[in-house]
Amino acid sequence: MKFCAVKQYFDDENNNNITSGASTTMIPLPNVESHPLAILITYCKKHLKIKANNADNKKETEKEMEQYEQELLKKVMPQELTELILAANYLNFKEALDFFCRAVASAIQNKSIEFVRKFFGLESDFELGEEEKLREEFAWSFEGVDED
Amino acid sequence: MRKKQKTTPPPPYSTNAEESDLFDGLPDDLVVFILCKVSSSASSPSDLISILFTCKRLNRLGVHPLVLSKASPKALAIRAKNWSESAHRFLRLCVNSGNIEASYTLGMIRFYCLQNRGSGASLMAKAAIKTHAPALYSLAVIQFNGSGGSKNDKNLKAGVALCARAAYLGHVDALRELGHCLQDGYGVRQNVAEGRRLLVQANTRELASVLRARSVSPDPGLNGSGCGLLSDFGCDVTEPETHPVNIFLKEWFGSGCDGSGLRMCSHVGCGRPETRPHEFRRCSVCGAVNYCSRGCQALDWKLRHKVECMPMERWLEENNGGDNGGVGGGDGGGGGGEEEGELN
Repeated sequence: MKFCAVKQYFDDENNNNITSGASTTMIPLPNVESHPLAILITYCKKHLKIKANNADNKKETEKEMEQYEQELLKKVMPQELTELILAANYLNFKEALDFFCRAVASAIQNKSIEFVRKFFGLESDFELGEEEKLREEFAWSFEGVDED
Repeated sequence: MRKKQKTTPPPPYSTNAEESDLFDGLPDDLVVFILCKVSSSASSPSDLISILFTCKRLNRLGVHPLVLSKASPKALAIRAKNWSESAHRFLRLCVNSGNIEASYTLGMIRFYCLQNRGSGASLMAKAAIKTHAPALYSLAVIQFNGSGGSKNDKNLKAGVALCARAAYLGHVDALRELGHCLQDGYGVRQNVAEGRRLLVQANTRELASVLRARSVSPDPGLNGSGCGLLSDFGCDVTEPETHPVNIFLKEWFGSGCDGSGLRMCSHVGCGRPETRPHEFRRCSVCGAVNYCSRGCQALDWKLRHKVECMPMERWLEENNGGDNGGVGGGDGGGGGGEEEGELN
């Protein structure tokens, strides 16, 4: 059960001996919108399918998973990433959370400050002198920053 | 390790699509989680530091102990020419957050560059206790040479013990060093067969790591000057990657000639300086190069010294036409001979 947050609902069902038909229990997910949920469900299904296909070969699983993840990333907009991360976090879906956070991390890696600000829609809330002071202080780290 | 969600519920989604502020919607612990990934995969300090400049919130979260503790070795790869109090402070922050790479890096810098032996050694010990292989090896070298103290401070047994622990973790230089110690009976009972076995193991590990790196990025153009010892077996592989702190040491001590007559280890990948005159051993054939350890000597021999090493006597004869033959010419026996630089 990948969606750990809803695990409890399924355990209850087994105890109530429901073997046929769909369950009638409503599972409330107040903090998850339909779009990210759909993506997460697809991700989960794909993950399980690939695992089943390559039961013995771990490397194959990883490779296929990576390919799928690359394609997925191309379709997802940066704005959706936040929603996906929050949804995965709420559902306690560790692999998806890990994957999306890695995606965000690699997007902002080694990019200029302006790029990072633009990517996340941030505004600098530093006062005039503060930013200059910071730049001077950390001048030692700047070498070879990607200008986008 | 993902932090559990704190008691603060995530703020509601911003419904205004134009003002999509990605980070606003994310609670602090998720941002820290993302920043941890940035720091652990950073390939240079600027990767992480530039995040600190974007806004106050990221400035605060970027120096969260969890983020700093995951910083990769490359994220801490400061260049010697950029060294400053601020860089020092940053490294100290990382050390305090429990980052053992930072402990090792700052330890080496304090010990060799800033001449603060006590603090440097204790920082390296901190990393060594957490089984950081390079720290164990560096401490072993210090014990073998009695660095930071006098000739009588050498502790061969301690050096061998530390080397053994680093070798157990698979550190190639330590394996080599231990192999030589066993072959020569240096600090440990002589066991030539075991020594030989360790040397072979070191070579195979090196080959394995190079091949692994090759399979990730297949670039035949990387064959520069072939790697040291494996050229024995006809393998032309590239040199192993040097640790950023060795590059730092190398740059710090410049060309290697200090005014006070202290020399540097002649192996290019090492960068360690002497801490007292005549601390390092020199090549007994030509006497022109010095090494901090057998491991460095063996590597440098195969890398470049083999071709340029020539007995001093012959060199002087050729140039002076029959003068009195030369000072300290040494034994002229095979390759890689060595003798203690210090006169007993």
